[in-house]
Amino acid sequence: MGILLQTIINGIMLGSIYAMVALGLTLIYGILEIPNFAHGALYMIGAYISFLVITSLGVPYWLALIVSMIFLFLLGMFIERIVYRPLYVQPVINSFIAAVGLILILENGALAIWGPAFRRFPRASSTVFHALGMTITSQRIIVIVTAVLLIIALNLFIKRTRLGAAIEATSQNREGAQLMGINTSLVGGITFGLGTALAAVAATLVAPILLIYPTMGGPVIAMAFVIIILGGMGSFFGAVVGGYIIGLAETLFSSYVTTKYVDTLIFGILVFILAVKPTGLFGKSH
Amino acid sequence: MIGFLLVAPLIITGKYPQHIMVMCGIWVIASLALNLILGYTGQLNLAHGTFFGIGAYATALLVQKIGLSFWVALPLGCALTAFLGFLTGLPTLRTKGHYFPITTMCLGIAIYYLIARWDDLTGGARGLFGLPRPDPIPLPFGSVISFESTPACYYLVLFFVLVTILVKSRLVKSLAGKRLIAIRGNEDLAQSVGIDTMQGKIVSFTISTLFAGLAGGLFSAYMGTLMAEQAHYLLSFEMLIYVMIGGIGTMAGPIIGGIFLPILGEILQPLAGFRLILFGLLLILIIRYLPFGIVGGLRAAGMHFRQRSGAE
Repeated sequence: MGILLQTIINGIMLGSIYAMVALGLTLIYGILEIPNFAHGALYMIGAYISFLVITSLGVPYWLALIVSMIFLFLLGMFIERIVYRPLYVQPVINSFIAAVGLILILENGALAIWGPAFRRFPRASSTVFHALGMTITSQRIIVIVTAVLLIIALNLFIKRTRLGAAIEATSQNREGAQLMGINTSLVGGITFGLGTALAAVAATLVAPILLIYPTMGGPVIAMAFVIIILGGMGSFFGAVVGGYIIGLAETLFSSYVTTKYVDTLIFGILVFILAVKPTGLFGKSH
Repeated sequence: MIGFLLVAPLIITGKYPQHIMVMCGIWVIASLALNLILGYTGQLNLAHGTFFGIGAYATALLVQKIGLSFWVALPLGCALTAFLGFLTGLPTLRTKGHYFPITTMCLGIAIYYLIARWDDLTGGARGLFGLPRPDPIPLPFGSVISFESTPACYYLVLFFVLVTILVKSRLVKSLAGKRLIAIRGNEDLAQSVGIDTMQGKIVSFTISTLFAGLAGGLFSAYMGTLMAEQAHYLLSFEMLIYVMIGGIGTMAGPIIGGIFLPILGEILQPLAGFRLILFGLLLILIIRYLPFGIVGGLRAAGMHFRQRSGAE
C-alpha cells in the first residue's frame, strides 16, 4: 500500500512539472500559433541559471528561483522579438527550423559552459517525511504545492486582470484584439516570456530531485507536446489535466510494468491519437 | 566536375581527407532524401535521422546476425526502412501543418529509445561492432574489387550518390514531382485541383526514408561500428542544416550542403561545442535572411545581374 501511495505522489509530482511546462507551451501556442520547439532548451536554461546563481553567488533557493524566473521571462521576450517575430510571415516550417537553431545554441552553450556531466542541485529543504508507509522528501511536496499555487495564480491572472484579458483576447482573435486597441505584439512577447518563466520555475523545482544536464529539455519537451496535443493546443485546462494524467501514467507504468519502453508507449499513443483525430483530442481545428 | 569526382581519391591522398569524402557522400545521399520530403513536398520530417539509423541497424544486423552478404543486406535494409517509413507515414502524414514535425520528432525520440534500450537486438547503448566491409566483387578476369580501402568505399558511395541524384531528378521533373511541389505550395489548394495529396505525401515520404536507409546502410558498412547515436534526433537536425544552408527545394542544395558543412564541421572540430552553437546561429540567420540557402542566394544574385544587363 505504501508503494502505491508513494508512486502516486511521485506521479502527481511529475505531473506538476509536466503541467507547468505544458501550460507555458500551450499559452505560447494559443497566442502566437507557434509551437515553441525550443521550450525544452529554455527549461534547461532555467535550471542552470538557478544553479549558477546558487553556487556562484550563494543565493538561497527561493531567491534563485525568482531570479531564474525573471531572467527567463526576459530571455523569452528577447527570443520572441528577435527570432520568431520576423518569421511570422513565413511558412510555419521556418519557425520550427529557427527553433532547431535555438536548441543547438542553447544546449551547446550550456554544454560549453557547464560540461556534459550531470550536476547535483542543492535542495530547498531536506526534511524527510514518513507517513502512511511512504518516505517522501519535502522537496517533492514543495514541487506539488508550488505548482498548484502557481497554476491557480496564473488562472486568476488570466481571468481577472486586464493584461490577462488582453492575452485571452489576442489568443482568440488577433485582428479583433488589435481593433480593440490591444498591442498584440507586446502581448505576444509578454506571453512568451510568461510561458518561458513557467518553464524556469518547473525546472528549478525539479532540479534537486532529478539531476541537471544540458539535454534535460529533450524528453520533457517531447512529453509536453504530447500533452498539449492530447489536451488541445491552446487549451489551459487541457495542458494542466493532460500534464497530471501523463505524469501519473508514466510513473505508474514505470513502477509496475517496466521503465524501458515508457517513452515508446506514450509516443505510440500520441501517434495513434493523431492518426485518428489529427487535431488532437480537444484542440481547436484550425 | 564529374571528372574531378572520379579521380579525386587519386589526387587527394591521405587517409583523413579521403575519409571525409566518403562521409560527405553518405551525408549527401541522406540530405538529398530529406530534401525530397522537405524541400519538394513541404513536410518537415524530424525523424529523418532516425530512419538513417534504422537503415544502418537493419543492414548491419542482417549482415551480422543473419550472415547475409552486404550486397543482399543493403537492398533489404533499404526496403525495410522504406516499409517502416510507409507504415509510420500513414498515420503521421494525416496531420496538417504544425503537427507533422512535432509528431515525427516524438516518433524519432520513441524509436531512438527503442533502439537504445533493446539490448538483445541492437546492443543497446554499446551498439554494434566489427561490421565487415562489403564483400569483394569478382571481376571477369579473376581479380576482385575489394572494399577494404577507403578509396574503394569512396567509389561505392559515389556510385550511390549518382544513383540517388538520378532517381531524384527524374522524380522531381516528372508529373509526380510537380504534384509534390503543388502539395508544398498549398495542400488544400492542391486537393481542390484534384491531386491526391495523401498519396503524394506517402510516396514522397517512403522514397525519402528509403534513401535515408541507403545512406545509413552505407554508413554502417563503412564505419564498422554503430551506436544508438546514429538514430538520434540530433542527426535529423544536422541534416536539416545541410539542406537548409545548401538550399532547400533545389537539386544542388543538399549536395552543396552535404559537402561543405561536414567539411566545415571537421575544420571547426577544435572548437567542439562552439561548432554546434555556430551552426545553430547560422541556421537562424539563414532562415531569416536567406531562406533558400546558398543556392537560393546564388540564384537571386544571378537573376539580379541578368535583370540589370537585360534592362540596358
